[in-house]
Amino acid sequence: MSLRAREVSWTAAGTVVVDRVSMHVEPGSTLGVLGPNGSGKSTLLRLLAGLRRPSAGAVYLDGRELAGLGRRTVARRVAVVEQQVGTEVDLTVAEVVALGRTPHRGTWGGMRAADESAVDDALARTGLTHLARRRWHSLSGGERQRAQIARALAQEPAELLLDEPTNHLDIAHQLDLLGLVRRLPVTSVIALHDLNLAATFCDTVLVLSGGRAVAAGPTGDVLTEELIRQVYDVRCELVRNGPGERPHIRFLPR
Amino acid sequence: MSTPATVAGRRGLRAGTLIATGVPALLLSIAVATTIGPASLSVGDVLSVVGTRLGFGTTEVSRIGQGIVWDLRLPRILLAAVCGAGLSVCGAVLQSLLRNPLADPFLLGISAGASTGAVAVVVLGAGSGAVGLTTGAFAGALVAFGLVVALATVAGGGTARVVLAGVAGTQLFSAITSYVVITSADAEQTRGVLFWLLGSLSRGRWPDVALTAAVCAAVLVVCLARAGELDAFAFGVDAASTLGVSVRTLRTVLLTLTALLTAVLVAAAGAIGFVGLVLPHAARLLVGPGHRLVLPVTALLGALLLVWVDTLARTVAAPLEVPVGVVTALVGVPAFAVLLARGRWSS
Repeated sequence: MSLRAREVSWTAAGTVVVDRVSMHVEPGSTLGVLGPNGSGKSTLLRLLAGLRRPSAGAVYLDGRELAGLGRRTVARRVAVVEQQVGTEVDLTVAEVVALGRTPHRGTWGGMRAADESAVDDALARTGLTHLARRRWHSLSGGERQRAQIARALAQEPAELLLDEPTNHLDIAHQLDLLGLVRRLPVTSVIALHDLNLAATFCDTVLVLSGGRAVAAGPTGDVLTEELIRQVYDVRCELVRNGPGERPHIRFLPR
Repeated sequence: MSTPATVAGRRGLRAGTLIATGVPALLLSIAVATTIGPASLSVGDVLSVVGTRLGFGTTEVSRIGQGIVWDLRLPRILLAAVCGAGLSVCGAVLQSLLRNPLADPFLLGISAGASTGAVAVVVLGAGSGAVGLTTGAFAGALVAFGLVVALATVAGGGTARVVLAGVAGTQLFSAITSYVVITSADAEQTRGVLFWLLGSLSRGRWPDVALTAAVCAAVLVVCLARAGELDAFAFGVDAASTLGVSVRTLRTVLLTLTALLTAVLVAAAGAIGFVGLVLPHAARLLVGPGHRLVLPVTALLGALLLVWVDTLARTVAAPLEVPVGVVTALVGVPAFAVLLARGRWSS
């Protein structure tokens, strides 16, 4: 058992953002978290990452409550790629990726051989080796997102949480990035807007609406014309002719 | 092909060279600066006096000469070095913790509070002579810092709130200081207070050197131990948290330590501006953003700069002394402008 949430809620300024959501993800699989804007996708991811403490319920990592584990212990297991991050600091790509070694390094220690090889490996997996010495600020949006994924990989996580990683990327980069994540030997939870990308890349999906989980299960079973109409308030045609009978969705004008 | 390791390696090498040349340069600067002043002394004289005082052999330097070196110039110059190092380190740590390139050691109301404390002692005679200016300044600094932290906490915590609370605290204590000076001080007192507000190392004696150096060394060691975690703040507080940093604990510990160090420094030498704001940036331009290198390099740069700036401050308009904070800005800003421009062209 990997990450599991039991009846988690999160309330901000009297508004319930996440409302008693339970979920789990099979080790090694990819879970898509779907739902319209403001449905609580990002907040749920933050609860799963331990960045926010649930106001009710609990998140478990291998059956142990996340809130009871130290930040360092969690960071060695769970890596997070946020939507869009920026920095004032003038870092090279290699230095950004090396940040992923933070939870593995000792108090005084510099980079050891294991750290260097994890960084090199993460750069190679994301195809960034040739950009290692480039400055972060000189990268394109797609390259930055890949560098963040490389940083997350350098953490050597078993669980990878990504919050709308394909935002602002062109279609080729969207496909590359999700293909990359899917090939990684990790358990992934990805918040996504694009239902067709979810249908192509996710093994299972969790659909949120108004902070509540309205559907969960294998992607092909959950995504139906009726569910999409209910949750997103749009009409669509869904055909199952994608690779492996995965659904393909064509939206109709309102 | 160069692997990423070589980039970090090259910066490490560069920092190594800087430190290997910087430490002897600092020691030599201290020795040379000690010879400069109305009474003419040679580097040999200085070394022989120091040797004698430390118990190696005897010196042929006159009693007055010995007094000038050991009791007047040396403690003052060492205090300059410690202040320069300490303020730079505080600035580097605060800029990272608060993710604000404009953060400096005085951001959290510390210098304003220290000024109020010092003015209360000097002008109003608070503590009726039993409390010195130094103690008053230290107490004022801690009160101001406490108020700023309390305000930031009430406002919900978080980086932006801390900065805003600091600005508010600084304004409040500056206003109190101005009010007291305008309404109660005579011309002589005003001049003395103003001089101290702009920073002055002229009151530096051995006990000040010992205290500031001990606090500075302790804070530097703790910050170096946390260097990797300071790096992790590059992409924000949440990113640092997902990299395994206990953000709240680290921020509390390091804010308190830097506040304590700043309070000790301000109490000894007044509010010396510019150093803590700008030297961390200079260090980053030289050795990159990693705190493992930035912290020692910025400390060294700060010490070197302040030793020479103070020498300039006490000689340029002799026998008048120029407040050291005035000279740090006059000398430092052009030097920094050159560094900024070079850093931009080379990238």
